[in-house]
Amino acid sequence: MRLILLALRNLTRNKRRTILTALAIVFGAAAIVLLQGFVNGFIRNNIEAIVMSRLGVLQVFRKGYLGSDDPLKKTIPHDAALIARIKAVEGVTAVTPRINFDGMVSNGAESTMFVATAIDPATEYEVCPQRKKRVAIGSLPLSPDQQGTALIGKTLADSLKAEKGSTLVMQAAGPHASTNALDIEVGGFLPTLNLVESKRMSTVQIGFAQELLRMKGQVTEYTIGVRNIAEMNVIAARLRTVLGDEFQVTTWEDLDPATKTRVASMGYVLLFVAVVLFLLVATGIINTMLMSVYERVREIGTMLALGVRRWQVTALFLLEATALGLLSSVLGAALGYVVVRWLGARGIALKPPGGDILWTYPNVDLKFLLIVIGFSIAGAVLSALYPAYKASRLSPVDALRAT
Amino acid sequence: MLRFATTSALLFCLSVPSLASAADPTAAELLKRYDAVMSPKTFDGLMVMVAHRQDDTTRTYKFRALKSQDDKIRTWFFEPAAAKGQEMLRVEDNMWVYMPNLKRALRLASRESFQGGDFNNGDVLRVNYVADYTVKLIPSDDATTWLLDLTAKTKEAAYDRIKLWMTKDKQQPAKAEYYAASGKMLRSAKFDDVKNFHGLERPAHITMKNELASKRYTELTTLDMKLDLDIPAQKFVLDDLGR
Repeated sequence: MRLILLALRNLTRNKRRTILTALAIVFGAAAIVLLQGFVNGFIRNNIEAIVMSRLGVLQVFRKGYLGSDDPLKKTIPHDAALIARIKAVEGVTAVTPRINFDGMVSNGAESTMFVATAIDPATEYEVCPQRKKRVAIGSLPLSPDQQGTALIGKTLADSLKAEKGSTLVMQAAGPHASTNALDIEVGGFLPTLNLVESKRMSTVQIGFAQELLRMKGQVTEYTIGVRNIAEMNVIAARLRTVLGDEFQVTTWEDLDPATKTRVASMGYVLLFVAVVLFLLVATGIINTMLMSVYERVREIGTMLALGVRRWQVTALFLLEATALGLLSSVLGAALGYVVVRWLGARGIALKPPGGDILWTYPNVDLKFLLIVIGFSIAGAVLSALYPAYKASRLSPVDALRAT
Repeated sequence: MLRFATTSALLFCLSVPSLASAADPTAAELLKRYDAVMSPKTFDGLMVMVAHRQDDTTRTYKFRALKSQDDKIRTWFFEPAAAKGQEMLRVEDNMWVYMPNLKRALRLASRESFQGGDFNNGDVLRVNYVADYTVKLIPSDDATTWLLDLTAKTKEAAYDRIKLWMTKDKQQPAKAEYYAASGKMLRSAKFDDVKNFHGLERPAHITMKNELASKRYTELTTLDMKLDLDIPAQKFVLDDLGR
């Protein structure tokens, strides 16, 4: 206890140096917390944009659908019994049918290609709640009562000079040799997140797609919402057991490995930056502690001559480092946390090239703050090991003689 | 009574030959005639296709088409430069396009556009209406033509319904309308410039209009068509593409 008090008092002896070192740690810890906040915000954006508004957490297809030359021939019955069977699986919260298809859309004079996802608005938003927000400003999400209505990309609409309420004709062949064509009303627009999507994508109702493709009672996919996204692999395994060999069960990571990699690579970037900051701060601490050892050679000699044990000298310097690390990292983490909370409440507007504004909300959990503080203290102690060892190895006679 | 009616009807027919002559073709005969004119048993043709696109540009394709005794078709493209060296092959319901830059054949669907124009691959490479459609005669709006109403026998036919006008004098196709299952007209065709190709009279010029995108239409002109050939069977196998 006396050692701890002594260590704290020693820290106040050269205030300027202590403050400078502490500032380095404060800055390092705050920067890491802030960066983690951004990374979490981006990851949440990605998950919301990809999983919660489009892909869904899990998907069920007819075996062979993915990678098929003619995927619309690999359909699944659109029937209540099958949906009930999927819904009964532990961890599944919602099930919704989908059909993905493509074709030509025309305004009478011109035509262009489109890619469509057919959804059932009655159940879709239980699985992909963010899809409700996936509309351009001023547009409403599809609702169950508008059968022949579509949401289309703004660029697609512009290329066909279509406005809200315009009637277009969608042509698609479905699993057959002949093309079918049906009128569709433009109910609104999809948000412009990237140009390729805006130029081709549309969302239509499942009943419309079944009529156009002549696929009554058939869908190509069931998209599944789960209680907890972290359990998705366990739930997928349960679904495979329940559904058997006829079906293929996938997770969003299987369908979008690019996003999976992007999410993982953000973690690596963070780790790299953390290591660099850690090394910088550690060098600072080593320097500070070595300086204070050299300054206090005579003092150490006196302590040793008065009968202070060598381990106590080591402990004294380690305690100084610990105190410095603890105080400044707590301060730094707290500072970072406050900034992240502030930015998280306010949101950061990003504008991807060619797209609408995307809001990012940085966030960080308290567990991460504890990790940062833990690592800072460990780093401070590790950096102090060598100076402390050096101090304890001094010979009292030489030390007392030193000037 | 019934017999009297039949007899008088028969007499009536005989007395007014122009209205319904004994030589009047049946719907089935006319459809058979269409197949024979548009896709003779064997041929070696040279054709030019001009696709008029919605941005008011055109693209011209020149190709040779060869049909075997057992109803297989192969094409070779000469123009434009971008399509030069491409080949297509149809065997039964399967179609491939050989890409010279890939040195490989890719599968085609019959419903896909033939080289980006307004004909389907099936319209050019697979003309067999007798096999694909049931046919009946319906009253024509034009007295010089017969109007055939074709309905797809299976979902595998290229169109759900076709209205086909054939001239009475030479029994040549004059125009056609192609419909989707929903009843919407997808395309319409005009056949003209009937010419004699080595003994077979047939329209040398077809204009296919896209009814859903009115700025788009495509013309297909037959420059030459040799008939009754003996073509080696190995020209119609996948491995021969590109050779």
